[in-house]
Amino acid sequence: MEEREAGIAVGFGVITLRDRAETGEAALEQLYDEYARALFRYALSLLGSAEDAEDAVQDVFIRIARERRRLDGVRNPKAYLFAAARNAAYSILRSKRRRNEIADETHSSFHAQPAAEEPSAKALALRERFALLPVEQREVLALKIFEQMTFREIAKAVGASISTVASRYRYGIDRLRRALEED
Amino acid sequence: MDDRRIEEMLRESWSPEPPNGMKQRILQRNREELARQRSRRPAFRISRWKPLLASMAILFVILANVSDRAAQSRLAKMMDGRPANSAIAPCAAEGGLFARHRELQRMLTLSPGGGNSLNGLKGDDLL
Repeated sequence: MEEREAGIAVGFGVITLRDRAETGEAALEQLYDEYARALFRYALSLLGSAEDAEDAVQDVFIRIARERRRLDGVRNPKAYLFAAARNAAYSILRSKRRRNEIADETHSSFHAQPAAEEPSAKALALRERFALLPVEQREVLALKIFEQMTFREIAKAVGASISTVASRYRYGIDRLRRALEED
Repeated sequence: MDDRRIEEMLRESWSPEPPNGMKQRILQRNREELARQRSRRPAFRISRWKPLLASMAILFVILANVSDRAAQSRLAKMMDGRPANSAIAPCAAEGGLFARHRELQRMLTLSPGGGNSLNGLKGDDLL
């Protein structure tokens, strides 16, 4: 009975919470396999620290398991999960700011994350510039470039209008271009 | 350099993976969270409908009681205020009959036949 109540059924791209006997930890695992990598990357782009990004992602999954009943009405699980990751990441950022813990380590953590292939010097410089972007522009670029999300989806996830999201993207990409041209 | 090229370069330069063991840590934390929830959960769970249903049931009992009392008092008023001769009064009605019967019996006893018969008829037959 307890296992059934803990169930999170994931099917056809929609998070449903029908208490099926086979759901529970298996469903959470399925959800993890589907979204954890993207959520971690997004959280890392906001926080710059792998440890903090993991904390944020853990918060997302634990909250989903805890508040499963509220997820009945979720129509776009991807946007919901990214919004949840954003909230968790911003909460960590706020508490770090309160403790004045935000430092240049953000950028060094970015560098510590490996790339699939050995990036060129130009790509490395670009990554460095990306880490220096304001967090609002960085998150839009991360969602657009790494998660291939549309402006509409990003707007839902970050709780801003589509035009705001589009202009953040524009400012961010222009900064990166200028930085590359300067280099 | 166009936007697409910048996007590609950025993708090439950065592809972070979740740290090793993150999945197990999340699942473990979830198990702990569930165990904590179970221990906190009260044996008798009160849903939000139960108090509502209980109060409706109490209200229903009170209303039924009040309505019953009102009906009873109305009935009592009707019984108390009724005139004694307004309804059928069997005793009173029978009273006249008995008086006639007694009169007939008296007349029969005074009659020459000794009151046993009146031309072959008994007193009851005349009633």
